[in-house]
Amino acid sequence: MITAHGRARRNPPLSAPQGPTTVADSDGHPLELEDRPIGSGGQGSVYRVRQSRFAVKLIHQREETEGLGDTLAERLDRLRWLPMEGLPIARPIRSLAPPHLGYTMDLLDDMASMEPLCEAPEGDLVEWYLSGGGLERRLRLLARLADVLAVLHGRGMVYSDLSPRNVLVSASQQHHQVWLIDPDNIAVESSALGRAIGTPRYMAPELYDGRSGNSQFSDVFSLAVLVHQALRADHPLIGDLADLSVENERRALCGELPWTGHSGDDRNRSECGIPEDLVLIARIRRLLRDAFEAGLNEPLKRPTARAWANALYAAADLTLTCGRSGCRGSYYMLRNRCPYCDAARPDFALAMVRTHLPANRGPQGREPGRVDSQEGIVLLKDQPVNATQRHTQLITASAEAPAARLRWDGDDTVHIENLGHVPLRRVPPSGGAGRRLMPRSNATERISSEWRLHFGEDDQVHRMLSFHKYKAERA
Amino acid sequence: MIVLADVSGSMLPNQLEDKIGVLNRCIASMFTAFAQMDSVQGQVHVGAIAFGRAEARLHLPVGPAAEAVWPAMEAGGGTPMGAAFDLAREILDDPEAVSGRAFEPALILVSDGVPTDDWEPALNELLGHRLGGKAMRISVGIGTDRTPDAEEVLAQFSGPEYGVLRADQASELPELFRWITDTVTSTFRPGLAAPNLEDFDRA
Repeated sequence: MITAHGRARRNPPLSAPQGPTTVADSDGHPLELEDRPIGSGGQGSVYRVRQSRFAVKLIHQREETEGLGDTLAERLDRLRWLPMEGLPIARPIRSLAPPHLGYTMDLLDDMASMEPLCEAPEGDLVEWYLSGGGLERRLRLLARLADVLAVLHGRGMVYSDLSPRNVLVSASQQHHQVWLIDPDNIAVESSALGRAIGTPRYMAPELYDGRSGNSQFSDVFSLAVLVHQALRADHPLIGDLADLSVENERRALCGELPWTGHSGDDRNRSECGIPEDLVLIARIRRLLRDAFEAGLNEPLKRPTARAWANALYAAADLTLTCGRSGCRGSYYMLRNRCPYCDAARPDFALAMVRTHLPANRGPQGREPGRVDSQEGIVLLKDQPVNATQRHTQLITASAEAPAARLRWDGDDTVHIENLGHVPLRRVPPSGGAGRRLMPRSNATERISSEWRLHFGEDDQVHRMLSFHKYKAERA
Repeated sequence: MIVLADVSGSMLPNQLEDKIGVLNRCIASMFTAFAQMDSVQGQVHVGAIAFGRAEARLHLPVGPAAEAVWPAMEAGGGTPMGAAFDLAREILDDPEAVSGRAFEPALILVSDGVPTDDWEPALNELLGHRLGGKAMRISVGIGTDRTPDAEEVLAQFSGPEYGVLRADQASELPELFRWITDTVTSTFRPGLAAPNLEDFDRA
């Protein structure tokens, strides 16, 4: 059984400031707010408007003290011109009437703050971790968040103040949507560089001492902290040395102490958090090291949001849920037993992702070749899973667009449904063109016949899936 | 593997991004990964051509990846891609650079703009070359502001197998180069043996 505990808090968490119960928008419509904010950033708090699909962002401080050089009205106006189509980011609708400063924005139903998934309680962590959806749900939410940030960065914008308090996630554990609720600091990168906005403990070191303003690199630092907090339930910079004094903590956050997982410097190890071998896998370890070791004070060396999204999605695909009723644990399929209840790992099938190289077009020479990846999709008995564009294409425009639904019957049969727009190929071990599976049609194949599913033509570089079965260890 | 890198003025750092800086880091880390490769199958030899201003020049002579030290490229001027194709062909013909026993070469073209010289005859000659025609050719387009002309050059270079790999922003480049690295460094497997689960957690 695992024992893991959260770091004792130096200061009790601040109770949320009591906001007004009613505000009015610029048209004079009264809006009745819920008592507790659903999120907050460095500059304001977000309250849901009772019985509506709206929320209100209330800005705490007066504009002049923010040093942003523009007024709220200007900022809201500028936001309308930023290319945010299709991104799950709340957009301002109307300003609030004085004396309140802020605006109304749209809000999805059934969303809750991400903060409870990232801020570990003091004391025992296991129950807290599992009740928040465990490893798999955390990986999927983090992947989605990184994906959104990658698209935002791809369009030349920075988010500026990423922290769990201004990310909302699906309240239901079956869903993995995210919704960002701090739109007013989004800016094009060039204009963001002139200011340093952030939430303490999530800010990049260069923002603390004013070496640099907000950038995509400071965004991805915040993202890396958030990933570490959510997966390990511990802050990557605040180890046992940083925790000794307020001054040490300040030095750690400014990048003057090694991070807790440093490969050669043990000074700031942490006794707290979920053990890393339970929740990390090589690819994520590598990104964390790049972010907090080489990238701690060299922003250019930090992994990009796209690298995080790819690694987190891939890790989520390798998890499975414990089969014992009552156990909510999920863990990587590498383990033989559930680390939470010690039940044997259930049987599973693995759809292994490989790259196909056409004959004469790769390092392998004259035969078609295959390149293994460290990616695969775990299939549990009768639980359909979608393969998406990130499994089927080398470079994806839309990582989560479904390509094929896969369902394993628990024995030797895999059902496939083509959810994409182009035919797929089911190819026998002897090779050749195989049989086509047209869009929206179904087929079944036997794992033991060693067929594979191709997402492209033989003369093109493309991805493919092969299927393998793994039996549980019998005690 | 020979990289043909665009170092024209449009790759210069601006307030939005530093294309040339990211490209320098991507290539350097790709070569480092090649250097760390299992040497059972042999070594990867790497070289690079930079094209910018009015000429294409040999930026890194072809040699073992383990010995390569990446000198940062600087950007400026036009996009003499045709000259880069000519130079690539000369390198492929040079027995000092590409020995007769070498595997087929890989050529990676990275560019964000339209060539400013007469590229078509040069590309035809490169593709007609005994090694150039068989080489694994990958083209990487950077930026969203590429014109159809620029896209056409990249598509013609890469041929149908790979198509043009797109990095809309320089920030997409590292993942793209990671994929290219994986493809080139992976052990070729003729069969489809069941994977060892531990391999998924291999550093």
